[in-house]
Amino acid sequence: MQTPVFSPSAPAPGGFYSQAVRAGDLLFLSGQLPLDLHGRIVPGGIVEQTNQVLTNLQHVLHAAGADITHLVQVTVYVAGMEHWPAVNGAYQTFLAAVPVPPARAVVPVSDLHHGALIEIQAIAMIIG
Amino acid sequence: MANTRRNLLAAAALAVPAAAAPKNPKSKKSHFKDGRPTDGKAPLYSPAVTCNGFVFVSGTGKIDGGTIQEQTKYVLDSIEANLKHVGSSMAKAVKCNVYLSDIKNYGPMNETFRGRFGDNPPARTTVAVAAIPFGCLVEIEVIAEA
Repeated sequence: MQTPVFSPSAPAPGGFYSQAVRAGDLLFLSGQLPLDLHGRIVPGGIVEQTNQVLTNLQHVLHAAGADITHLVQVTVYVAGMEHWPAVNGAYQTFLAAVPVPPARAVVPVSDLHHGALIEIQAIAMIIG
Repeated sequence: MANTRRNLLAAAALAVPAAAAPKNPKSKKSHFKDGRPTDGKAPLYSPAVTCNGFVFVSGTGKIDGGTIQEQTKYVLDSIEANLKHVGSSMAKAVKCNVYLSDIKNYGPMNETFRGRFGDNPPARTTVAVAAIPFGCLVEIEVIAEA
């Protein structure tokens, strides 16, 4: 049984997809872009964009009754590997309270939608 | 490599009958074998793998060209055939990754993508990558419930 998850605090899906889908104990979160609720890229640079993406993901996690401590696997797409140090730093700060850092991959890509510098997708495990 | 890939891609369209059940009933993982003759080398990957109640469908492309709409339709048809082959369906998809060779194809891809997964579509991530093997315009991978 797959259950769609929607958070009004995160940007609405820009295409035919759900913000997240729960299947059993697993929660599959769509890639989040650094968009505000009006669909605009947040001002600033890669650090601000990283924080916005993680905040959006956190809203979706909350809508499913989970939080960042439930993350098990995270895939980070960046528009250029030169962003890695800044992304890693912002990510570490955001997840500072997480006892076990999720498995992670960082993938440089040629382009992201809306010209974003970063997109993050994740899988979380919800116990109980 | 090209032949292997072609065989795997062709398998879905041909809906070749194969035993999806694992040989070892205690195994939680089963590989969807297309049963086609190979060049004698070990296969690179399975079109789909079932594990712990989930089906993982390999990234699928259309290697003989076509418009982005044609390629997207072919890829989704192929994925649908693979899912059905192991007893799953598009409606059971929970996660979808879409790789585009050019972000300009985001809109046209969406036109063909819309509605293919039922009323409750899976979570999805779309990125443009530097290149997709064989010059494909789009490659899609899916995780579904078995």
